[in-house]
Amino acid sequence: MTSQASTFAVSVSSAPSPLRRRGNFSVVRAQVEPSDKSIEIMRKFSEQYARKSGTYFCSDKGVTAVVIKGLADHKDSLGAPLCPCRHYDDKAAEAAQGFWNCPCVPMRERKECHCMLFLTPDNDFAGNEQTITLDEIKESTENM
Amino acid sequence: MSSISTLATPLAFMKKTTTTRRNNSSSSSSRSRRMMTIRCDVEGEEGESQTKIGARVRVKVPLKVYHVPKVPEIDLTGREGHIKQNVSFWKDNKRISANLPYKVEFIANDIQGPRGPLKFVAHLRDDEFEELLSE
Repeated sequence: MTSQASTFAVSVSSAPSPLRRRGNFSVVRAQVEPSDKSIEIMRKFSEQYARKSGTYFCSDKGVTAVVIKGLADHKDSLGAPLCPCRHYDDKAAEAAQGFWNCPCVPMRERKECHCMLFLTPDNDFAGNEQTITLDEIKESTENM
Repeated sequence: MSSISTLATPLAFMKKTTTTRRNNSSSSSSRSRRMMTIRCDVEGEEGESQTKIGARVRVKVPLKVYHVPKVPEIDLTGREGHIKQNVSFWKDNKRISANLPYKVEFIANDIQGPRGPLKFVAHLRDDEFEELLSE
């Protein structure tokens, strides 16, 4: 005689909750906007670092704007501008260790920025500008 | 007398008995009885990198770095150094997702630093260098 451990999967179907009032929908958008101050700080940093490293922004400034916003967001939430184009298991540890803090190690050492924020002149997508205004950032990202 | 199935019971055995039960039970619960094993091998990783720290290595791919102060560009191809650290392990139990985990220290005899040959550090992947067997 054998004893077995048997598992049963129980599926619970819940009836849809009835709407209280028809036509009165409130859309809750869980989006955290980075503070204007952080955006300005990261914008200035990006301009200065592009100048210093001899790199250029993308010919499509929308790309640059999104990355700068992502950096500002991480700066607000973690205290350090972690690369916004990567996935992390432990953001706090990564921010403290610093490999992926902008400018990340691959950028610092090899001038490789996979976010396409800092592009070397030989890159096909590089524009010819090392500046971006706050208005340009806001316009490019207003529909996000 | 009767065999008692515990955690130590081989999976194949349990799988066999569950499938026989499956025929009797309804189709909706048959999916739930399938058992899966997920094995996550982490053991080898740490041990492997521990042996590499301190090892003498030579860069085997074309590589340039631009972060050394006062030297705009240094060609690392063929240069030899030693591994100082594996940055993907941090504070005992944390893992960092660095894609260039090996911190290698180089001493460039052909470039003069402030005090003797120039010393600098670069981060490398494990497929960019080869270990030098000590002579």
